[in-house]
Amino acid sequence: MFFVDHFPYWISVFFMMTGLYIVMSQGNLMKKVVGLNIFQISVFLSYILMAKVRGGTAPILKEGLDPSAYSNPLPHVLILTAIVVGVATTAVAYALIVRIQETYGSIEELEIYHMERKQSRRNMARWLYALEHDKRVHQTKGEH
Amino acid sequence: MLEKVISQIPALIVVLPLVGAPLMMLIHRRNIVYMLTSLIMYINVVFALILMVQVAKYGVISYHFGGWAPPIGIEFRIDHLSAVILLLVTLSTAIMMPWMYNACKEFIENKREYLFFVLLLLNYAGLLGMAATNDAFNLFVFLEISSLSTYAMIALGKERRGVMAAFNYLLMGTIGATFYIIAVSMLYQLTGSLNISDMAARLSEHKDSKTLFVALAFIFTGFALKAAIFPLHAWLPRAYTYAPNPTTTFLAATATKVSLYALIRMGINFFEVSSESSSGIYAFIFISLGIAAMVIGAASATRQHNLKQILAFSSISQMGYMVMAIGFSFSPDVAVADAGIVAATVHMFNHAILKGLLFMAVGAMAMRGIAPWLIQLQGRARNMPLTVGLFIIGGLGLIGVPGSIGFISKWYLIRMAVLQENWFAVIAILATSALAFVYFWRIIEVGFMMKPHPKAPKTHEAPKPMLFSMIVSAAIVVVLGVYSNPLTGFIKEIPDEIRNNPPQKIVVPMKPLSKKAKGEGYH
Repeated sequence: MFFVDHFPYWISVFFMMTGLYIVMSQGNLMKKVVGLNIFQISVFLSYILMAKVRGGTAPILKEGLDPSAYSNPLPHVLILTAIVVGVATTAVAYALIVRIQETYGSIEELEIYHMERKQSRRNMARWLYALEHDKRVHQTKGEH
Repeated sequence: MLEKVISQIPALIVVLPLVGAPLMMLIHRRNIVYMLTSLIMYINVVFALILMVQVAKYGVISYHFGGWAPPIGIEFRIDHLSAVILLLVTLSTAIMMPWMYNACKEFIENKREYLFFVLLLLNYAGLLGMAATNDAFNLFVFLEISSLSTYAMIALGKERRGVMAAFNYLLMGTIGATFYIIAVSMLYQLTGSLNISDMAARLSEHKDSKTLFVALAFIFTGFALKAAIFPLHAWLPRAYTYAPNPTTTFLAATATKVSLYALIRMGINFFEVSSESSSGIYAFIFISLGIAAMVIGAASATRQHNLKQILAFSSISQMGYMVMAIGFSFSPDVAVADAGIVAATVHMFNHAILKGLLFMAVGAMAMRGIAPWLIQLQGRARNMPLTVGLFIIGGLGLIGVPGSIGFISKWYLIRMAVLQENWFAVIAILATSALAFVYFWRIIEVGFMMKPHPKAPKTHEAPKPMLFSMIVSAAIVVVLGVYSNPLTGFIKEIPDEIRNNPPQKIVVPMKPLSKKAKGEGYH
């Protein structure tokens, strides 16, 4: 049975698709990050799954343990690193969300999109307006 | 003593900025941080040049971390290709450093300035690590080091849209990097190794495996996201436009090129393995996406109102050239395949120098208030003749006018397409050059020929350190355009070297188990 034999892999793929779908479909930035985490964790899961050998033990040479069947520890090590990277990514994402909330007052993608549209139209007109009123915009910093 | 240092350079070139970053965090003083950062950048250029000489003299350098041999330990492997990329990253960043002094003061808040240099060093270390490493998972770690610092660098400016652009890039970039580790997991299941050349040698037993095919698809999608290859380029214009100018300059010159280098490295090692059965598919995908990126990127650039946005779309179009060249390198015809790799590498180097120059000029203009909006530039280009002049040199280079390095790479690209007799690609290259002329002419027309607004204030020339950086950069553009032998001669060695060093399987000597350990029942 193809499905039953590969059951753990199906779970991993299910989470992968769930995560990607959340990232794409949700408008809330916080939920997007949650989706991203689910996506990453599904990949970690697939790494751990591939290391598992039925009847395998820890890779220790000891009397009584079958040395030919052991679970490979390398994927676990890789995933420890990947988890750290994932945590760092999440931390940066949350820090950015905090700043988005501070500057836009919203973390809904659609609302921010409309605010940006308005801002860029205003910016285009602003330069001419400022010239008319003799404001020295060329010295205001940062705002393009 | 000196020889010992030289033998450690492959590691030092990455370790130096990596150690420097937290140090800068502690030092905290703006000027000292700036000086030490520049010092590290300049030392690294020397390191990269030494590595180039060593590679040219003795061939591939293999550095084993901690003395652990490759399949178990991590290997840094410097061949001609990675030496060129190391030089590209170090040189274009070192040229930028004098420019950064004024630019960071202007575009980044005072109390955050030292943080910018910390992030710059981290990003730089990540990019160099990606270029030097020969370990598939290590590549992922370095990719994430550079990506994470990129997100923070984009959000560091005073423009609030930069934060949103950084967030969008974070989503895309993380998905891309995760796709790459999915691919690594598949390749690891096939081969049981993480050393890229070892993997490549072992993969030759699984040429027609479906797992390999899926893994390659994941690798391509992952790096295409990071390198902004055409249908996946959406994050790039926003990130470049709304990031503070120093960040944009650094990213435009280096980041996407290194991601593309990773794709070439994978192409040489993994795509080539399965090429007999499916090279046609890979070549078709790369060439068609490349041509689409070239034309659509350049066409979008003609419709923008913001200098930074024009240059960002032009970047997408230039990435298209390189992707197309990689596509040609999968060709069964050896001459075409060689020409493809050479053209991609030459264009990568040239584009890094040119985009660095262009964004530096835009930064200097923005500092005096005549950029990035075209409406601000209107008729005021004469206020800063030197800066705008250097900008035009960069623009001519991008169009591919003879006498600039742009011409050299266009020459290699067209030669490659003609060798394959792919006339459609030849026409696309020429048409895109014409489109590049259109969008640069638009800037010149707005800057010089339109009348300035009657009340627009007069501005003066950019500060001297900025001019110095731009002049050095423009000098490289012209000198390498006239006398390109040192660079192209080195790059032309790449295909031969790849052919002479086919990936080899590394076999770990296993200790035979003692009889006792074989186990005689459970206790």
